[in-house]
Amino acid sequence: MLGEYGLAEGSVFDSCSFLQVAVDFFCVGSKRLHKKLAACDKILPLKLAPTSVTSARLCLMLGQFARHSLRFRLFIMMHTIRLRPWLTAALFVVSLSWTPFVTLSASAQNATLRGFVTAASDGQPLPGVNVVLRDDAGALFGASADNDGFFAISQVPAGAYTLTASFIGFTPYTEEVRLPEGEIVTRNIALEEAESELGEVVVETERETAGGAAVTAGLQTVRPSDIALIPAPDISGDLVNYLTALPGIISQGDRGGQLFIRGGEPTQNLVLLDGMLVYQPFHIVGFFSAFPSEIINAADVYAGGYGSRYGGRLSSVLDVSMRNGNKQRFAGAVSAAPFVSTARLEGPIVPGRLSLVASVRESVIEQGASQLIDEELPFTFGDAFGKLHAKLSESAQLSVSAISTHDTGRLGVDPLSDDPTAIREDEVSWHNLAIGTRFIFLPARLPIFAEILISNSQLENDLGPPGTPVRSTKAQRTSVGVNVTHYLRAMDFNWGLFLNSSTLESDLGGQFQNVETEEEFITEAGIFIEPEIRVGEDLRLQPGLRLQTFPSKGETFLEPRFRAIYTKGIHRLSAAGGLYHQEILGLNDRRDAGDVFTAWTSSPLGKVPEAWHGILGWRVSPFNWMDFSVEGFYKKMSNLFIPEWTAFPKFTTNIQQADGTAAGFDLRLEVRRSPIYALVSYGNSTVEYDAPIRALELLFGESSVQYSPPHDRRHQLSALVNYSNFGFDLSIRWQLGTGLPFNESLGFDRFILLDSLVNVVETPGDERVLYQRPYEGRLPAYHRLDISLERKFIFNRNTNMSVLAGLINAYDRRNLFYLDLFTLRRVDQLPLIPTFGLKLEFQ
Amino acid sequence: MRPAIQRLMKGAGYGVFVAGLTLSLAACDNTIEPFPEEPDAFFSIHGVLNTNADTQFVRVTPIRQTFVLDAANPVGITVTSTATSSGERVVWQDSLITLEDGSPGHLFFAIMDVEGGVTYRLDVTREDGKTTTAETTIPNIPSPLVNQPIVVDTVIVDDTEEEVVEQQIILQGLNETPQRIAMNYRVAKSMLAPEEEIDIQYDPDNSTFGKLPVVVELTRDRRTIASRLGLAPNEKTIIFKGLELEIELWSVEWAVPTSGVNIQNGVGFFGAIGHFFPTWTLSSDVIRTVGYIPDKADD
Repeated sequence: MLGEYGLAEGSVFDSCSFLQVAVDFFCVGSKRLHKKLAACDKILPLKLAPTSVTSARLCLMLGQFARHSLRFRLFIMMHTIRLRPWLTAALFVVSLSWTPFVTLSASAQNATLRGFVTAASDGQPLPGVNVVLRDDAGALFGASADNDGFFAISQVPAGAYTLTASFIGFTPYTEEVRLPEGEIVTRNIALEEAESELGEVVVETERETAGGAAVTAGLQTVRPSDIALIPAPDISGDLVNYLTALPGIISQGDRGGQLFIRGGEPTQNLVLLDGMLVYQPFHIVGFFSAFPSEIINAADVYAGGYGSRYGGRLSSVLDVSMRNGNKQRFAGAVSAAPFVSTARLEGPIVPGRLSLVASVRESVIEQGASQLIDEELPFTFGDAFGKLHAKLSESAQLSVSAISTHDTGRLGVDPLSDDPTAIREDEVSWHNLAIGTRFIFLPARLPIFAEILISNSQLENDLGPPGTPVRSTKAQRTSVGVNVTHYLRAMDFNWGLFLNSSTLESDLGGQFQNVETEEEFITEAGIFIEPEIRVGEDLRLQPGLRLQTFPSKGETFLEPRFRAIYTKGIHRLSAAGGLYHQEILGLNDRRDAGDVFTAWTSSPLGKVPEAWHGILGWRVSPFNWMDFSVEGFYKKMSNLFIPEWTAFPKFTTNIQQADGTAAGFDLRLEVRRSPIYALVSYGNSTVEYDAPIRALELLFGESSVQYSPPHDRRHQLSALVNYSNFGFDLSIRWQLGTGLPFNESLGFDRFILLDSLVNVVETPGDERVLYQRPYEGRLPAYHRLDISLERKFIFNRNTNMSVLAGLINAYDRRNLFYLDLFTLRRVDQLPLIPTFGLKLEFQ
Repeated sequence: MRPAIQRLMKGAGYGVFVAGLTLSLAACDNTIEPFPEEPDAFFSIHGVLNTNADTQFVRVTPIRQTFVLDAANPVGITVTSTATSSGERVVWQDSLITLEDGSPGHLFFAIMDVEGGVTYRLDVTREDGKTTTAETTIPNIPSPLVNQPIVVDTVIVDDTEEEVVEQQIILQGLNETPQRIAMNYRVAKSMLAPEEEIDIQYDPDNSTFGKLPVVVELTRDRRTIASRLGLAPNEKTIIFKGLELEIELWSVEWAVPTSGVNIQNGVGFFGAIGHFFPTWTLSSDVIRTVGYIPDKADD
């Protein structure tokens, strides 16, 4: 009978996965499950370890929980329309009730080992460290540290173990530990840097996704060491420079500060910095963002299919965690390059307990790069970041982070000027400000990791003549969230609550005639659950559900999500999918490529943008120095908002609804054979919008038109080679992207608006460009080679200097930023720019 | 590594190489073709045929591939209009004009009357024979059916009873709501005073007058006229000399003036306006009842 439940003789009852039991329970009800458990109990003395009884009971309880959850979901589905804030409160109570229910059952007998892994030298968390428990019989229990350096190995049979923590570049840590029955043992580990590089004992975990080809169900984790491989105009790298090397991520060019991820618009990307929302984090010059690599701990990039922890955006998630300051000694760096100058300072305020890190960057383009190429580059930008991190106890940490960014620039040429190089006077500017706090703690008696996040984020975006903008927008969000993870043997049960309050205010200067731009106050509350279930050794399932409600809008969304990872030997298959909504969105007028003004508003016209994602991927590691991955994706989007297509592009227009799809696949090949690192990637993508276009209906008799939006880059190829030897670090990157769509023109005429009795004898009219059908033309392909050579000079133990020399756009390709159809003048991206940099570091 | 994986990796590597090579070759081209090689639109036309004018005008702009407006040179452009029912063809004359902003413009004009219900085709032809054609139909002339005036009410004004007179005009053959409806009255302050024309607009969107029939409020209009002449509203010494109804109708192209659906091989707007002035007479009794003094000529 046990065989029916996967209980072969000698097996551990834990392999009778509670998932199967829970699924059975859905089907057959509790009586039958009790019978099954009784059967287990009956045979236990012969075949099962005593701890397995606990697991079986846990299975039962989880099954009950899951059943209740199902009922609850059905209830929600039936009452979605009438959901009100009280439901969120009820959900809160229900969720809290899970805590003792799940965790007490989980901690009843087996032991749990948990803690934080940090670098001994500076107290930095070390994500990705493998932590392993090995008993005398050789049984292994393991986990890898997350971005906080946190690990938890739960439901371990009580006993004596050898604890090992290992990570490349650090001396392995070994300790004999005793785990008493039912106890939760907290062990914080500080790893010493190795004198020479040592091999790492790798525990393959599904969470570990760092590396160029290590994409799993749309998720890729980026570490500063990855960013350092990319040639950049600044001696300190930047996250955005790495992102634009990834397939499926499209930038408009090296100016504008807009990223399109797998068919999504820039305003559909959720960007978080230490849990704080950053509305517009990418700087106006495309090599830079608010995330210099020097202060990044890690960045999780979800190109789609993200779990229920994240919401409110339609396309992707960029979740960046920043470094903590050095808790042992003061350290810092200053650097100078033709694009930016940077200063960083960090150090202990209370040694070992409280630290500060602060970073300031300011562009020097007009004084630097502009002089090098003798071309006007009217851009200024900068950012300042600060973070206080306190280790309150062995099991509690508190951090306060703040960031401010500013960007100003003039994009595009002046169509009315006789000077072909005249830059348009209109100026676009934006300013981000965000401050937030994060408190993480580990309750003494529960195998729980909990965090509380409170943040406030602001954005101001203006467009128009300097000092007198004709369009402006302000967005502000205050957010409170609680995220909890219960560590169980076969499952990490994640759940959380969130409450956001947003204020939106825009003056569009008549850009969109049918959008009300009054000040709006929008409250959002919700809850998510997301168990990560390990089924056997190979399969990891992550079903999720996110409920979010907007009381002031009368909108409630229930979003199912799903992620699955199957690992077998050198292969890893992954899948992800889900439903996503975006109530607060940014409106752009993509008819003008030089216009990066974004108006933030709640969903107009009574429709909320919605997307379904589907991702399927395969990754293989035939050697420990090679990874290959392929991942396909599909996004079905509806209720998108685009400017109504008209034949009068320079006039104001209406916002209208459109639907869209994005589909494609990525190929990545990564080779790591010291001293060479290589990453080759290819991205294939097709994005299509389908919109009813009244103007076309009148002209061509078609009620709607399918067209490729201006970010539909069909093919992308990227090759990166890094060679490190003799103290030098040589990086070469070549990128190729096929042309983006643009509007072809019939020509120009002089247009007289005859909507009343206008005298054609006297009225001059306006010059007009006559567009063809939308976006049928293709701009030339984009390609560029960047090279950098870096050398570090170590003066003494505490001081070193790095020198960088490089070429941006090494063969001086004239890559088009956009074509002004009025003047037929092309605005090109940056030409060949020799670059150099100097960085002085001390500690 | 298993052979299957090796084969797959090899295949993938080959695929990436071929894709890269293909894309690289395609990437050499750096030219942009913003305009079609063989455009099928030649002229932009903006103009209106008007039944109320004896000279018709259209502005013609060649569609060009430079934004900057070049010096207007109408040489080689021929504009003709043809009444499709009769086949009557008129060659329009060209004129280079200076517009309000100082820029030059091609204005073509023809001295001709246009008739209601007639479709006119305009052909604008280049020297090489490329032609832009536009068609518009002048709105139909409605045929008025004038009902007898009736007293619809009696009111007390300055302690005197006054009858309220209205008259219904049915506009037969009218298919759309007029853009403008007005009553044009010819009156004089006294027998020796000069005749004056006074227009009283009726709101076409008004629920009463936006639909047919038109109800002419004769008594109300008399009070309005008295006010405009500087007299007391109840003054009944005004000499009534005549009246007419003015109706302005726009052709169907005005519904969406930016569409240019009636223009072949070109863009712009080409429409028509029909002005119609149905007139009738009032008897002396009715004139007196309304509150006027009949003109001597009518007695």
